[in-house]
Amino acid sequence: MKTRRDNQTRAVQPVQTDRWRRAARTLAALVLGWICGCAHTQPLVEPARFPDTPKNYRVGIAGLFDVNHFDYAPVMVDEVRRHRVFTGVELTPDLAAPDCDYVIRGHFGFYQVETKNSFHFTSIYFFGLPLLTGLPNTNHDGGIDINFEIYHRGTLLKTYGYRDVFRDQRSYLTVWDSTSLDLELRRMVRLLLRDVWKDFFGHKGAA
Amino acid sequence: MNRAVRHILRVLILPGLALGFSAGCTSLPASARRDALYNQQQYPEIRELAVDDLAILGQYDRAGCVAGTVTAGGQVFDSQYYDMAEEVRSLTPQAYFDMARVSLDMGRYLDAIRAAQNAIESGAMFLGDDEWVFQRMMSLRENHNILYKAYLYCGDLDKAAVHHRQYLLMNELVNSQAFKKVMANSLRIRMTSMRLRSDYQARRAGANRNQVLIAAATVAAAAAASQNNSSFKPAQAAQLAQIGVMAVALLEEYKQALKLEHNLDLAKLMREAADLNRLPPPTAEDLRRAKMASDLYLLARVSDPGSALDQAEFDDLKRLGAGTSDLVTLSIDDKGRVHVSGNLAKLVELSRKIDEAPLRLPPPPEEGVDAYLDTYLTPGLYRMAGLQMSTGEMQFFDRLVRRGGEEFVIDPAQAEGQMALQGLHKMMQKTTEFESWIASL
Repeated sequence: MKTRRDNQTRAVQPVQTDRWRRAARTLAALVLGWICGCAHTQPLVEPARFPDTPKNYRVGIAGLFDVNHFDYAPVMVDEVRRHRVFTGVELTPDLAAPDCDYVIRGHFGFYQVETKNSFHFTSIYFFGLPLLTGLPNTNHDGGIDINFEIYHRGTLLKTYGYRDVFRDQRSYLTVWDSTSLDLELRRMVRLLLRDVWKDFFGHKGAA
Repeated sequence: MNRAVRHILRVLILPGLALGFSAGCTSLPASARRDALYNQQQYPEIRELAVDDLAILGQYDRAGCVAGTVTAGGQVFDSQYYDMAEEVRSLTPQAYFDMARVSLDMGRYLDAIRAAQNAIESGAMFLGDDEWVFQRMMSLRENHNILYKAYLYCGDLDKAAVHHRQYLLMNELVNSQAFKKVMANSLRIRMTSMRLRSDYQARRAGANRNQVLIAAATVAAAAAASQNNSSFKPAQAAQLAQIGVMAVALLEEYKQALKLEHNLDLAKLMREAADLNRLPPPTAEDLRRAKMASDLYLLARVSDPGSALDQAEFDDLKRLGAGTSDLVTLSIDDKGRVHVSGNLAKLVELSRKIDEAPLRLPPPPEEGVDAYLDTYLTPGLYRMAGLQMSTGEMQFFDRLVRRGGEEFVIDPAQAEGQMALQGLHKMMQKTTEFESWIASL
């Protein structure tokens, strides 16, 4: 025969399980954060989000300019080609290139700066000894503001803007490379491809 | 067993978490948190955080003077540092902007308009000085874009065109070479300030440690160390003041370049862009560009022509749309409950077809686009598109229709009742818009 306590336990159990699950998830995220040591506000889009077969469009890349007007278009071309979203991708200086269905141009500002974190400042009081543990004591703080323009036969159709802020944690034990401009640009291009795919071809009946 | 696990948690894991946080392992800057949440579409959390930030208004002067330290989002900002002052000054405009983009995504267009207007106003207040021109320009650009989209889906094409023109202007300017120098300057000062702050904090920690050690040995030595320590502050302050002067001086130079290259006075341009009540009226070209930049036009361009509505389907829609204003009637009883009577099934079916119509417009012709824009892309069409039902709402009404019956009672006090009322309101409003749109074709 079931007692009142049994019923109470059963009623309470799911709540406890949820709490444990939440705690476990937080802990896992924390451990991962500590191991990987890098966090971004914008996600890295999975290649699985892109279509298996490329769309029959030719896309031109008219430049990807930083604040000094250096052109990083080859990085973009490489990333777009890698994901095979369109059948043709090429560099073009012309926004109204007749052999391209769409032309993309981008502008961005990128910064990255090395600073010390609170663990480092605390360690100073202990003559730097805690730093020997290899816990991250240096932040690579950075960010990118990027704006893509999509042109069709020279007419501006749509703009896409993204802002990513990242923080890379490092110590003398960290062996992997820090976030670089190249990786950041590739992350942004993937976001663009995801959104272009969703807006242009994500609807029922899209060509 | 449970007690043992709890003990381990308390003794090992929680201090571990504390250590992790003290090392700053997982945290991103506070200003970036809402961006991350936006990507995960966690809108209620963003609103909560934005409201928290808006509540800090009282900590500094309303007139836009930021002085001393400000606490927001669990972080303390010392406004003497350029990068932190930048974040503090952006707190309120950014919070309003986040509210605006969340409202826009949730289909609350009036809320989005109000929040974006507030963001522009607070931007004029907190980012009005010359050294924040980059932040202000970016903020104006984003907010005008939100205003454009929100007005568009409210069916106010004139205002949408006005804001779209401002958006394009800002966009062009931000991408110009002269403005990129402003951007580079702003980024350089931000980076210098961050590095200097980190160096200063490390030196201060070292000095404090020495001071404690010396104080433990002799009081006299402690006094001497204190004097040495204080020498950091004027040096640091001078360095920071220099950065501020450099920022303004360089900006003056770039403003001249902007004037020469684009014949634009930056200060005047931003003042005009922020003066929402006095924006010049749209021209026919502005209206045309606003329509052509909308998602509906873009979709019509790239869609498969085979999936577009054909004449037979338009005729069918015309037949369906005629005389639909009284499909259901609403009445409220003494207890505040809403009684819905009429043909709900037909209303739901019609609503589904109306939702499809803007996504299946015929492709625009290569020549004579203006006639196409005037015929199809009317204010009514945008209002219809702005009132699209969510999947949850459609499922709810499908369930209600399957249950059958001629009359339904909705209790607005319940969450489900509120959703039902909202959905009904959308469907009835949409039907009215649809009736006039389809009749004009």
